[in-house]
Amino acid sequence: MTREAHTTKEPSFHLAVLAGSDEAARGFLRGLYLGAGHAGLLDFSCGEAAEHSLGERLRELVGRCKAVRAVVDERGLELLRGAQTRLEQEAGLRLVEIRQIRHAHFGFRYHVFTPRHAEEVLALLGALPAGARRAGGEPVVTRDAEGRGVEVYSPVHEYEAAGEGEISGRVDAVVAARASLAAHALIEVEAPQLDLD
Amino acid sequence: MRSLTVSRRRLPPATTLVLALLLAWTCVPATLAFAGPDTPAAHNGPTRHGDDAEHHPGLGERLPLWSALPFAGILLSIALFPLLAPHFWHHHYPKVSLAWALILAVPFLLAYRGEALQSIIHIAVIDYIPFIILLWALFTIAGGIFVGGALQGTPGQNTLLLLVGTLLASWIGTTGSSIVLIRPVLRANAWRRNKAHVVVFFIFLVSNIGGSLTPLGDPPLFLGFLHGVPFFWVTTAILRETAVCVFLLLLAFYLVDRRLAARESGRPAPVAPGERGFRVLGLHNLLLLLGVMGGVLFSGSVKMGAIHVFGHVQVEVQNLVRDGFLLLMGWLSLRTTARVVRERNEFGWGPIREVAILFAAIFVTIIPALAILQAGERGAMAGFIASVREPIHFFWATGGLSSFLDNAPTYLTFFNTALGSLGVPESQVPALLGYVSGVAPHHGFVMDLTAVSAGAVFMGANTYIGNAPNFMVKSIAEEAGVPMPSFFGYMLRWSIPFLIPTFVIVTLLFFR
Repeated sequence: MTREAHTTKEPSFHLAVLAGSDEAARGFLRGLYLGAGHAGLLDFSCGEAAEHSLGERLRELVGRCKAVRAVVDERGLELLRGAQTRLEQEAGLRLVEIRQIRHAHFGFRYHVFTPRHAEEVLALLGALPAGARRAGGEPVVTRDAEGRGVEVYSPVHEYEAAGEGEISGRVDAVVAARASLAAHALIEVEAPQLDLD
Repeated sequence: MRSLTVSRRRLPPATTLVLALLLAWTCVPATLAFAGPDTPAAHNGPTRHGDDAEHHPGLGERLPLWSALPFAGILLSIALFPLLAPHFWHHHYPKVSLAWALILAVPFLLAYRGEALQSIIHIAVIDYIPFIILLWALFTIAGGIFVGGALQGTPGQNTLLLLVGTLLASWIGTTGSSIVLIRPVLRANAWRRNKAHVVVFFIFLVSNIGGSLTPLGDPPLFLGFLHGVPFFWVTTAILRETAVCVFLLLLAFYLVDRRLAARESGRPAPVAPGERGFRVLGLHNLLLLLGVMGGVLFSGSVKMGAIHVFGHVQVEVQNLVRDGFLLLMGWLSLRTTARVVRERNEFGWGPIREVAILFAAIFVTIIPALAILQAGERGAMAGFIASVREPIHFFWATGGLSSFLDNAPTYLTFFNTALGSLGVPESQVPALLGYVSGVAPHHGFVMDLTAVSAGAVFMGANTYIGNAPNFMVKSIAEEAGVPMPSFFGYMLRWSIPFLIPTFVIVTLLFFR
């Protein structure tokens, strides 16, 4: 957990729900950012409304989103609003809803079987971006000296470390933290949850 | 950080006492029930294999159905303890196995005395010892082969590795092939984030289905060989079924792997100049494997007489020669293979110790179940035998049970069900399969045994607990950093969507 420096105005983040093709929405917004030379926060998930339903998560799994939820920063929202006509005419998309996001959070868990993998996970959890804070996640380590070697009928591991917790905080930091943890094959991250105004 | 240390501890004296009392409490009424009014004096000859069952009620006709409960108990222990209490099971499975064996053996011996002792000695000499010797030889020799090199985990290379492992499994056993190839597969895919599916298809093909073409491939088929099924019968009998499964699953794997490989952001490390793509150490062990195959073939084709052991139990000389030869092959492998090869394979005796202990209990407790099944319509499982009639029943019944219980005893159970339905002794198996000149094969039995063999070998892949190498491969993959699916995740995401449709196609093509 790192303290933030409040030297400037606190950045604000927004959820924009776009109805239409998932791929068109992602492509349009990425193009919009690139065209404007803006490298701010842009994160996507599947969903028709602000709340992320189970059905939407299933549709996201099979790549059948009917709409896309884009998390954008202040500048991104301005770009989106400025391009609203082209959004509808050129990409066949419709801006359905805009909500300000107060905070975001997501759950994570891991289960590893070597000290090296535990160190990798702990290093990632210890290097969260500024603005993200972690609750829980400390490993419970089990050692069994007789678990060394190969077994077929009674396999146990010589070393196991497991933990679960939650990352919460400012939206851009939480999105970056989630991407960083999700890049490790042995950390399972849940979908980000947004606290909306 | 919370830290737990699990160490081997003796069971407390009070727990041991309670267990002993429970054992005695189980054994006494069981003995009394066994020794009911129908129990004859223990002077009858060996009727377990039914050769003289026509002359008087055989053991299988007198044993009650509940006498098979210890057999169910040991199988369920093997299936459930690793999932529910893995550390307890790891430290105490020999005691649990001994308990199940005693729960059957003590009342059985007290009630049936010489007849029971003869049955136990028979199964030890004819099944258990040769079974353990073969597995030991294959495991020892396979552990002396190391596959390495600069493999890159591309969809093409992964598919090729799975094919090689699948083909190898029938000749060095599914456990041996898994040990030889799982680490090269993991090293090749170390750079990939999406790799759990590679291990899952490895379990499908190398740890299970690949072992279907010879008795060396999978323990149930070797038990079939010990009970009269000719060595190469299975090679031709389930070749088509195996080929269809392997083709469909390799195709599915290639498509899935290509799709997931396209999502990878990393790239494999470039191959150093002059480094070969594939490297095998301990290659001379392949010659020793040929020796193992030769030894097994020898015992199936030569008759050298028999040696009397106990009661009516005899052991054939050619089988003793075979077992001695297999021990020699294993010993030669230990003597001639560089130590570094076994170290790289992390070779140890753990798996063989487990098999030796657990199968001692399985083979003791299976005696009543086999005897009852062999009694056919005259035994306590007449209704069950009557309900399993068609090849499709045998395929799915054997496969369904093999998905959750060890497939070797499951095979023996349904092998005897098929025999029991015909009411013929085991000695007639070669004739029923058309291996006696001038005798036409019994089409129904051929189909039933094909279905039993395919079901036992193929469907061990349906769950992690279906076949011993599955858990071993999962465990090795987890230590290599592969996020393996949970028990139900494996079934829901992989075996049900990929294996079950494949087996349905096999059923429609071959077992309707």
